[in-house]
Amino acid sequence: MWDRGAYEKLKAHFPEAILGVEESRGEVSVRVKAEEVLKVAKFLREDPELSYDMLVDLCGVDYPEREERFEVVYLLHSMKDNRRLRLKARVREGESLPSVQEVWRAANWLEREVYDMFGVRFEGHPDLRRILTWQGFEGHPLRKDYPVEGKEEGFELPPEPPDLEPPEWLKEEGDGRYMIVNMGPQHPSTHGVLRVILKLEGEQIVDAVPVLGHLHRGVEKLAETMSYLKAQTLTDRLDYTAAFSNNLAYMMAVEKLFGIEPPKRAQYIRVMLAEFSRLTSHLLWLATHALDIGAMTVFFYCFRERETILDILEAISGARLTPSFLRIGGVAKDLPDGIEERIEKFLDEFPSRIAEYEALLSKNPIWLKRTKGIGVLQPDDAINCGVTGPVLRGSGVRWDVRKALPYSSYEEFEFEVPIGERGDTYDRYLVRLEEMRQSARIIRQALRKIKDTPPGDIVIKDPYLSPPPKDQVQKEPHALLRHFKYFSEGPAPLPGEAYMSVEGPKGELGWYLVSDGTPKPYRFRVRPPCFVNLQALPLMVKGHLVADVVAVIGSIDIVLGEIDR
Amino acid sequence: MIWPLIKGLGVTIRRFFSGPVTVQYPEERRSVSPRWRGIHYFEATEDGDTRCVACGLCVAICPPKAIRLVAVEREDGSRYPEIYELDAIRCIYCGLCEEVCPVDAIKLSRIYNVVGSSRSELKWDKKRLLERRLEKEAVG
Amino acid sequence: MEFVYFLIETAIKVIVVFAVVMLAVAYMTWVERKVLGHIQVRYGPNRVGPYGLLQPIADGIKAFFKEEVIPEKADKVVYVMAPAIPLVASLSIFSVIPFGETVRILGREVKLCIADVDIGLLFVFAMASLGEYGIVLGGWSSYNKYGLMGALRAAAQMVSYEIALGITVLGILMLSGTLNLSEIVRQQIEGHWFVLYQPFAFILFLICMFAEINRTPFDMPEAESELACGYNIEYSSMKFAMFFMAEYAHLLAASSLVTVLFLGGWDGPWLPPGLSWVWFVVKVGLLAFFAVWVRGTYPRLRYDQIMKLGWKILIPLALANVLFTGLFMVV
Repeated sequence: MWDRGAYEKLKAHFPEAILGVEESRGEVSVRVKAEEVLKVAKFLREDPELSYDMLVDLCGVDYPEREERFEVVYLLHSMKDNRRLRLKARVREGESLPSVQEVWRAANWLEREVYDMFGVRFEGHPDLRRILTWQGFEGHPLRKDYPVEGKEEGFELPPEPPDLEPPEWLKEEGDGRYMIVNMGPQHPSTHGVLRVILKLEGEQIVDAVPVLGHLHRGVEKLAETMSYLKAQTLTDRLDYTAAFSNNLAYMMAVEKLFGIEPPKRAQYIRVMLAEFSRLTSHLLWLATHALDIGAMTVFFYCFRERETILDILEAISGARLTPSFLRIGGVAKDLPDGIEERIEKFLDEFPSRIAEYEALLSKNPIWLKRTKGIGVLQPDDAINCGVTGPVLRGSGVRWDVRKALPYSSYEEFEFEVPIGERGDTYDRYLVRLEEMRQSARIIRQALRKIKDTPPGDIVIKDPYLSPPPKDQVQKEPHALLRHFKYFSEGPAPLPGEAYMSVEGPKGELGWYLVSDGTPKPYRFRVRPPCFVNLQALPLMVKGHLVADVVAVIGSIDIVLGEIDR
Repeated sequence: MIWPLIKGLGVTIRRFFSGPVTVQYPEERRSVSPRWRGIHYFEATEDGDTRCVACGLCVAICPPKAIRLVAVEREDGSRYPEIYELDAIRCIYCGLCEEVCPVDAIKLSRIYNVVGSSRSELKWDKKRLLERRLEKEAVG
Repeated sequence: MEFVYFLIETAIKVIVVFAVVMLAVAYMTWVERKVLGHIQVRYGPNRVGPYGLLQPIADGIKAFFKEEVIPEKADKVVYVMAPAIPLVASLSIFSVIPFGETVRILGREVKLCIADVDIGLLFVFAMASLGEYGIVLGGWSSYNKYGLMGALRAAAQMVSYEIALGITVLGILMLSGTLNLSEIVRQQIEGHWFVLYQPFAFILFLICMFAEINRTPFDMPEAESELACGYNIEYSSMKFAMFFMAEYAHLLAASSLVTVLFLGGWDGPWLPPGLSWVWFVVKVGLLAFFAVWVRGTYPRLRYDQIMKLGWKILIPLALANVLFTGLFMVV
């Protein structure tokens, strides 16, 4: 899965540009000289053997003690051979890197984010502006010398609201043919605070520019002040429609850092809860998507199912929206009594409910007119834009992290991955409906598998990584000491880095954690699927009418909590 | 092309007669599960005072730093919290404080109304947390 | 003397019809909310009065107390006058609709129809067309580019579907040979309901009716999830309520028209002539329920799709209907 042979090939081709190779937790990273990044990137994509056609993630890490303090990390994936490779380039403060936007379009917003958070400039980038903070913001928040509480002195409210004007390159042709119209941030259909600036020619859309950052809360910076256990509570609030997926992705990255794997029962419980959260996310998507297009009854029917699932999740974890149910090496509690009957009852009713949504929508001529042929995304564009999840699968690319890079014992489950044909809104709708059915199938298998594992075996029995049981704490002094050390400080992994991703309901949700040997993460990077997917919006919406923008945004399925973090 | 339209009408008319699924709050209430993480309360010793030994684990573990603790040493040498203040609005109801308390002093009940008419009313001190133990019994 | 009696009789009829229709319009909101609620597996309003029956009254009182906001640059006269126009137009349609059989009250033969004129059907279409002025004037006088766009679209939609509506009715006209609505009802009582002779026209008429009134699935001009809210974007309080009352009144008027033209008007078994209007009310009620049922089931069409449907599909179909009716009559 991680490409061990790439280093030799690259070294043979670019002897001075490649500075070395590192390996951490089984992941291979090649260090590149900053100026040569673009050449190496082009080679990596175009070489028929290597063919790294997808840029999964691009982030920065700040090492202020080094002279070249910023390290920009590129995570690449090759669809052909299902291989991954990491590239790293170091720059000094004030230096700039060439932009790889022309090689992978996904780099557009990702580089803007690195510029915003760290201040690293990218040459050749068509539109290097801040993305998560507002234009005119001073400072670069994710640098280590920027205080986590924010700066108060020297802060003035700008005289006019920032970002009122659309970017310059959008306004170019001033011959009056085009009209620039603003959609949002307060809008009933943009699923959160998203603002889209549309450039119209009559009624047809020529370009669309999303403006983000209204919900930016600084999660990545906050997590650097918390231990690994506490930081899990931050992850619930990213993709809040499917909180458990976030917990899972994060905790698996932590476990990769520590080099452990939870026991089977915990893994099956995790699989079951992850599929439940996929169901909650897809039900919410269907409800809001149908509501935007006008079918308001589907909204209520989906929420009826969602309530049942949230009741089950509440019985297991104690909260509906923010479970924070995982612990390092397992889950927090075992399944409560009687939950199996409730889940079976839900699973028995669920197929008829999906049939109900289908009867209302799938063959309805009005629905077909509103969604067929709307928002088409070609598969090559999709891969180049780094799009993952049902949006990618709707365009016909068979790629699912659960099958390609299986985690948490997904390889033991039988399920299918639906793919679409044309890449329009209708196909994405069908893909997600089918995914709901497959999730129900997986949950049933998980229930059966859980019954075969010993009850209570829910956390790895490692004295450093899991706390002692409560009854021991109150009696034995060594358990008390362990308890205190574990919760006040927390376990610290050896220095290194790890990247772990899951197939979230919206796409590949991954965490890139860098550890410096302390109990707090040195860098907590979220690979947000909706952020990367939303970049493809201008491609999908060009040539359509304004009323279609709402349908297309609905079919990408965005959650602003994850986009803005 | 017409048949799906009629089928759709059939689905909605069937649901029209099948009855609502909503709960008429506040006359009917939805029951919460036993594991629900509601508002906090203090467990008490025999003389009605808090079990808390002011170890500070809950303060350390709380992600939003919602707990304020001032510890003193009593005449018999034991630790005691002079001031224990929990800010119910900052709290994220994660339940970690309950998980870490070595003496099971602070626990989360199943009460889900977090109501107060001012911010100061929602900063709970020892007394309020001890009182809530009795309310919790009443609610169940 | 006869003339005075005539005036008194007409005045009473007008007052009764006006009161009943306004009450029906108010309670149409209740019907819509309750039916939509139950379709969506929830209760509709059920707090204000038993089964929420006092909800429309509560809404009316609230509307009275709301602040009236008039934009500074709006053309004040037109702005205030605009909501009244569609309401007046919709209510005027009721003046030619026969509600029941001719009854004997106090020794007089009283027709249950305010004005039984020989051009009844034409009058209905004329008043319906007049109603569109109010929307355009409302959108234009608000001095808001989004309001104007919404108003133009709504008006364009209504005008397009009027044509299809008119051609659809030609079939009925050919069968009955008269524009007098009471006469049409009488012919249906003696023969069969026209829906049996013109089923296709019935369905076409229903579709056009939904489009005329700007209801789902054709309510894009006033849908909230569009960019702009439509022609009533700058209206508040009572004037806003009047636009909606006009829409519901138009719905009831169109349902009454469908009842009269296709479903036999006040024809029905068992009831004495004095209570024949009960059947009329039942039929109109069923059609209103159908309108709400459709709203709760279907998504909405995009605006260009609505226009395409009206011009390219419905008008040819309506013309085909006329052709076949003609052939059928000749043969």
